[in-house]
Amino acid sequence: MVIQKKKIRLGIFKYSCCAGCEFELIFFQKHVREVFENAEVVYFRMGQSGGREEGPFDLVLIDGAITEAWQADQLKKVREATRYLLPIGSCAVNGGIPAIKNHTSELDMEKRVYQEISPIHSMKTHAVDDYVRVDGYIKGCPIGRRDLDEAFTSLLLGKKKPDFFNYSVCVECKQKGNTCVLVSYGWPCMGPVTNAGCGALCPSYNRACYACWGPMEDANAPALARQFEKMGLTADDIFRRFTQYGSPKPEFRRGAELYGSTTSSR
Amino acid sequence: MDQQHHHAKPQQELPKTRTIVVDYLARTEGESDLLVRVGDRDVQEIKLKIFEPPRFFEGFLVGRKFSEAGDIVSRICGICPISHMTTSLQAVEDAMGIVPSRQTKLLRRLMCVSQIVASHIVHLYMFALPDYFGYPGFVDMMPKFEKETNYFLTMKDAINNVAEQIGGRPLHPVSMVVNGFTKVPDRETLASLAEGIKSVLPMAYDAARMMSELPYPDLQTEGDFAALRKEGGEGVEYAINEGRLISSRGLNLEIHQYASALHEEEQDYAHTKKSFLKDGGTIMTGALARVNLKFDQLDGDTKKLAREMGFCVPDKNPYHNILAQTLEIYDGMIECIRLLSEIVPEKEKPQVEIRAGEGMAITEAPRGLLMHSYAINRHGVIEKANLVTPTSHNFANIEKDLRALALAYAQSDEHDALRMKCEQLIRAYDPCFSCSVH
Repeated sequence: MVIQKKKIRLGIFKYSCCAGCEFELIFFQKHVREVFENAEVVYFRMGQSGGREEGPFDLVLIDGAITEAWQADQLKKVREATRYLLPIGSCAVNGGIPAIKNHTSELDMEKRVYQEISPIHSMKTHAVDDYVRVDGYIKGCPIGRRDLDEAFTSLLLGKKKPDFFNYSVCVECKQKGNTCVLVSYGWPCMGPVTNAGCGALCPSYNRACYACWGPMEDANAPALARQFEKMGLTADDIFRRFTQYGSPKPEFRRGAELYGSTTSSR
Repeated sequence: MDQQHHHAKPQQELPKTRTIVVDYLARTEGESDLLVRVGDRDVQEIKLKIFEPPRFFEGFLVGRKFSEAGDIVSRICGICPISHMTTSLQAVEDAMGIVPSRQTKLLRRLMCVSQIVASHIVHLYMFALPDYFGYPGFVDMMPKFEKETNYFLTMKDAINNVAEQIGGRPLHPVSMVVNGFTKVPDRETLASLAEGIKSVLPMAYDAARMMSELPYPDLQTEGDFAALRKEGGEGVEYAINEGRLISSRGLNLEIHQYASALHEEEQDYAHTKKSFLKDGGTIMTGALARVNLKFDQLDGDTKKLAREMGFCVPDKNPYHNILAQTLEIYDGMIECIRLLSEIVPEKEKPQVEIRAGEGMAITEAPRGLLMHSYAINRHGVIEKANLVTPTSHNFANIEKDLRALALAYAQSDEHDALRMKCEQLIRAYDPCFSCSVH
């Protein structure tokens, strides 16, 4: 393998989110210099003035969920202008926290926050891959540093497919030798259905995983939801467990809909 | 609201009128456009069009459990998650009549002060500095400004380590819950964090001196500076999570009286609501307000640094918010070192007895006053949530300052100079549009 000599033409677009994954990229992670030494920043409004929204790009990172029509319009154009496109972070990957609102009607949601709702043009929250083809996912809330490094090194090395985490948080607990908080303490841990990458952070900090990385592919959420019921959780509590993160994705929706309505009444 | 913002073209110029349009302002957190229309002798229009999409946190918190609130609201902001989390936890505790332990309060203070330092560092280098050196962004500066790059990378790692070690990760930490911490660090960890910060303290000093030599436009804000302050003078801690709500024009309230002093108004051109004082006046909150209102409570070394920088209070130039931030970086590092040396951690058991009630809290987030209030039912489920962020508090005053700036430069022919000064002014406030819309 040869390290690519040309810099990666990079675009970063923010939609509905806290911008934390962009801050992870420019501030919190430890390889800020290395990432940007190998990138030509073509468009990244939070980081620099100007830029070319139309590209062309080698890699585009999408931060945030889609909640307004102009975001979907722009996203489709961006997809055409880049070789690779990766959603970064739970909002972009699975709808994340902004998708909690999907279980209430837009009218109720808007009325709870604004008296005059005519200037509000919000829609149901969607993940990026509902609108465009993606080339993988950098998961996490915020994004995992190891998957971020893997994405950049793969591109520089010309690797066909980055090797992202694709197993559950349980595996990381076992690797760390953590006591299982679900089995031993009876805490409603989302680890069995949640994608790994955080290093089993919550169980290592004496609390149950709350699924901030979103669902692992093909996770069996109904089985875990029924286990929570056996442990004595109320239907509302179980519904909340599976709708805090990633409920637009079928894996978690299947768990949530056993205990509540995942679609709004209106 | 203008939904075509990303294709917006400068409007047709009226005779003798100049229009400045900034389409998606760069180097701030979140999304806004700026529209300024200046006539020969007057300013015709000033609009900071915050088009950041609403995420409806106040809407979807309704129906969620009290124990989820901290984790959920931390996702309002990618740079001050600890402030939203802390304010939320304190509001829930207020509603349920819970008084956390002294250690919990100290650890929260440590987390919050470290986050203020971190937030100011990213603002100074990534957002503000490029304006003063004529670069589109800090990434372009990195190869040519080796010292600044080294300072930025070294300081950020030393300070981010605090929240990373105590919270599990610096962004959206996991150990902070209602009535305590699920895990506390050991003494050795705290000692090594203190060593890490000590090693970068001279950089913070040097950075403040460097920033004080940059050319800042001259402007005097008419806003009322507002901040939390603890009673007493020198030697009393610089209020972050507790204190009274005070202002330079004499506001002095217990925080629960917040609603009697400030209210929000919706705007048809922005998703952010604007805060006003009862008499229609506007406030400025954040680093400059804090330093102005409690300069006496800064560390002695910080005061010395301020004198060396030629920084005198009250300083009413909003551009100097950047200088106030450099002072808070230095002072915050000293405070972190003190707290890291003082705390002898004991295991906490954060237990909660659910009780129905209403509660609220105000803290000093990096960008200023942050208010959360909730109504919680007897099952621990949130029935009402109201949040007011620093940028909502500052919104009206930013526009007022922009108006004064545009008026001062109405006669000037330097079209681009005014646009640049407007952008610099907005950035000096360090706005967070993601927070402000939430």
